[in-house]
Amino acid sequence: MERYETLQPIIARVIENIEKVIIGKRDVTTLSFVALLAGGHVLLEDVPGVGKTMLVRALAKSVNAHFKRIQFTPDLLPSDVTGVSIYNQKEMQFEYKPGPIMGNIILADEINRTSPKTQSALLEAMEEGNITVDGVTRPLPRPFFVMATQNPIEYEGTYPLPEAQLDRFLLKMKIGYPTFLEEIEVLSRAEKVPPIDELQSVITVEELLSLQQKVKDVYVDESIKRYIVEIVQRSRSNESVYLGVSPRGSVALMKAAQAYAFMHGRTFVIPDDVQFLAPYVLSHRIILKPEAKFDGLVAEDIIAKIVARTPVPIQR
Amino acid sequence: MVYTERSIKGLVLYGFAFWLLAEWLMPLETVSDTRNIGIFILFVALCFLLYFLRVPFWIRVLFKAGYIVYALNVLFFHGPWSEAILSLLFEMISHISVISQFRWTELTNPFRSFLFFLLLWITAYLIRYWLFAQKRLFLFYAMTVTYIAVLDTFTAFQGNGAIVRLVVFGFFLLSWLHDERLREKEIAVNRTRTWAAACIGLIGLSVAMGYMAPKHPPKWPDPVAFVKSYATHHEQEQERQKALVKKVGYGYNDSRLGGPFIADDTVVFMAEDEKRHYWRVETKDIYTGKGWKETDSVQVKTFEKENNVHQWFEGNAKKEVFTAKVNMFQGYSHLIYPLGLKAVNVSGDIVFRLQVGTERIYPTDRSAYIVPLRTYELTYEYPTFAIDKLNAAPTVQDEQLVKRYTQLPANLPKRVRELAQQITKGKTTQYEKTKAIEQYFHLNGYLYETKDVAVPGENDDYVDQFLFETKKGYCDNFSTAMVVLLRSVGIPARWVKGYTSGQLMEETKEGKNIYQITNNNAHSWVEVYFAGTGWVPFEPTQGFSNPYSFTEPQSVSEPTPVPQRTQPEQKRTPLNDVLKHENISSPSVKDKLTASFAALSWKEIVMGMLILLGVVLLLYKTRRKWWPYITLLLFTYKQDDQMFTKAYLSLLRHLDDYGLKRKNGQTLRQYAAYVDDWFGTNEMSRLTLLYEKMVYQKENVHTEWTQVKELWENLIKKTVS
Repeated sequence: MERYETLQPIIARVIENIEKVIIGKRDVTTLSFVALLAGGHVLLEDVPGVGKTMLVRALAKSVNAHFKRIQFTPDLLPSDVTGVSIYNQKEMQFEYKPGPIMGNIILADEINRTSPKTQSALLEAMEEGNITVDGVTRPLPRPFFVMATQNPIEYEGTYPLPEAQLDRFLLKMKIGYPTFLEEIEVLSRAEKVPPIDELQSVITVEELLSLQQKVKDVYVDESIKRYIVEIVQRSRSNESVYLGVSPRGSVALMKAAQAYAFMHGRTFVIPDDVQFLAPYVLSHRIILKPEAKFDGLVAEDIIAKIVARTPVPIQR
Repeated sequence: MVYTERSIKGLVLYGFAFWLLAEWLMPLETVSDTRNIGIFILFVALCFLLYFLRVPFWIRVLFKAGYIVYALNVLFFHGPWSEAILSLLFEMISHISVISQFRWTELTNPFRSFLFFLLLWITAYLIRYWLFAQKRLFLFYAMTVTYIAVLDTFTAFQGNGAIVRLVVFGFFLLSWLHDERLREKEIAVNRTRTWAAACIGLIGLSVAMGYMAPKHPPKWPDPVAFVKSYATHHEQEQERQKALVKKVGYGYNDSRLGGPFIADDTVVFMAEDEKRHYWRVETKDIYTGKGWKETDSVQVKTFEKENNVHQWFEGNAKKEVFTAKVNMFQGYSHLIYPLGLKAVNVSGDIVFRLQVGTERIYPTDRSAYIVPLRTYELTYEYPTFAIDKLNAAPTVQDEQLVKRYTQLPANLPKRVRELAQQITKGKTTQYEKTKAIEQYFHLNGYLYETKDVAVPGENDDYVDQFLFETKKGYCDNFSTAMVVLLRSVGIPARWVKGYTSGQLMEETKEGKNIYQITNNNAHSWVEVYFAGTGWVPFEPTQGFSNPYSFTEPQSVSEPTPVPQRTQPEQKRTPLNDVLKHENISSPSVKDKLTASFAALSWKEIVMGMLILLGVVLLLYKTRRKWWPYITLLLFTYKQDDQMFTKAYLSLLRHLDDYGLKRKNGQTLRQYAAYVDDWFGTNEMSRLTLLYEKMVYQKENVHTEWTQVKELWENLIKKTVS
């Protein structure tokens, strides 16, 4: 696809900037930005040490946003995320001490290692866009973007995220290991000063907010909407699927597609956008039947199969 | 490609191609009955010019087809354009049966010319292929040399100039093509001048030497006689080995009679007539022992409408004048007419040429081109022969006539003459003798038979075999035998060919009868010369009757016609069928088309359907050669808001048919990339980007069709294979 389309210049600058730090992984970078533009959140499912933190920090630095990191542990409490009110004896009143969630770009590391109580505190904040501490509702800063990571489910000592919570993430993706040559490049760069420190910001938060507005104006034709719904409905009737994609999933797919189209300088969504994004947007929203899992099927395969079979609209 | 078609080199090559094909056409004027060869040469030039200009396929076809119709119209039809097309169509349909029955001799001149145009078309295409795709022409060149050599040796054509031209230009062309092939393989380095100098020098040298060298007469004085004698011998051998199965119908060649034939009820013509009579075509006078040959006389008399050149009867025949209208269903170059023809009424400027030797009449135009007639009106004198006058006829005195019409081959078996003597024993007058011989077959158990009829072997005589051995046969056997028997006793007689009066279909209100004459009615009979009366027809064949009246002496004043024996299998046709033919006097071309369809038998219809099926199948198989062009044509003249969408979707269909299948889940971009990979371009992707904007964008972006037209056309053309 890159063959025919160039990125929106401003987006291209950001992506280039991030790529000074993250080697390869163009898709991951692009997808993160899609989520950022669409106002969604990303779930990274990967082992430690592949550059998740680096990615988020680079993203934050590039957009000149306030970056916060929360390391989730089994003993983390909800107030450790949202912040607490402490009695200020000098002032004679309770004073709100903001938690780490009060930032623009949040890295929620190993989200599945904490208790469901703490997880839900974060997820509610993600959904509502504000938090309530001691009866006071406080808005979260704009933009608000959470990139959560979780270790693959098989690892010991984890609290898997319930399906309802997973639905709150716009995209789920993996970073994966770098290729041989890329890893050598990683080593070469690690010899010098950590490049992340030298990274300059490319756009401002205000610019980012206006981009988010523009994304909403990207036109989605009736035929594309039908296409999205067709894919989603097929996921519900698929024989290997126990629970299909919710209507929230359809909306998510459309919003992501709008962001993706905008990034590529288009004012309208084309089926290619939907096809590219469907596995990332939909696969964490379906639950496979046990027998399908037993057959070694994974959700990504099912979505890919559905997309391959759904007729693409070629005329209005 | 070292050279392209549209370049100076290409033009020169096309010039050579034209010249080579013209070499084939030029001798035709001398060696065959082809006329106006210029029109064909012009057609060849047109073919190559169109190739050179690289006009689209369909324009070429249109031009050439138009030229063919125009040329045929100028040569034959002489009508307006629409008429010419219909006439050509009519020619084609009426030839379906002719071709399906292999009656090659019956092809009409317009149809022959039409086929010739097609042949030239194909040849031009082939030569172009040889020159530009294969860059080899040796085969065709060798064929041309052989052709010229054969014509020079065996015909009146003088090939001196042609041979010199062939050597000079042909060798130049061959070596040029060879050079081009080498260059294509990048073997030869670019040394055009050296090559050209060497080539021209060698050719010049050989031509000069050939010109200056002494020319000996051929060592082998006349190869033609030797080859001919060998060929004839071989032919006879072959014919003896197999009994030829013929189809009944009209043909000119009667040199080898005998053998079975199969029935054929193809309608030849319909006639609206007042009297029953034979329909004549020609007479023949030389009996060879195997069949009939026509006299060598080439005397031709011409008349227009009124026959004032040929006297059919002498004073003693009593005549009444009648008219008949004829509506031909088959295109024959000769006129079919009754005995006593007085006038032919036909629209158009037609001159009739009567070959005195055979009494064959050709309708022609002013410049002596044969014009087959479709409808014409005849006026004829219907004779009644008084038996007493015939009996009283004196012995024929005209020595030349007697000599010509009592000719018999020298090796006629003696028993034939003896039999003739025996039959006519005791008969005194010529009429009595003739009647005796005519009756002989009826009285002696000769059988009418079409299937089991012998072909005379090399040492057999056709008549002798019939009279003494087989004793069965059809009209040719009976009539030839009667003529030979008559001639054996010195009575001048000749063999006449044509048709019987046919099957009565209906009586019109005016008291005229409508007859249908099919190929089954083809017939031969006998005419005997009586001094003072002229040629009198006789009917020896079993099961047939003489349609002319012979009156007894007492009833001279009021002739009683001999009762007409109707043919046994005659049947009534439903009135509707007849009504279709009722306005036979002036049917429009459309009517003729319908009529000629109606005249097709079921076998021909099945055959036609099969051919149609074959054509459809062929069209389907070759659709990638023409369908893209049709689409191009359609979209050239369409004006529509949705043009681009329609064109793009049509392109998708073409690509799919071409073999580049789009999967259901494949987006247009992915498919475009696949298509472009296949063709090695980026045109599909460019077009697809524009199309995407049309389809998925908010405002209905009106992409100007003219902007994308070229991209689209290029892609459509790529699907031609």
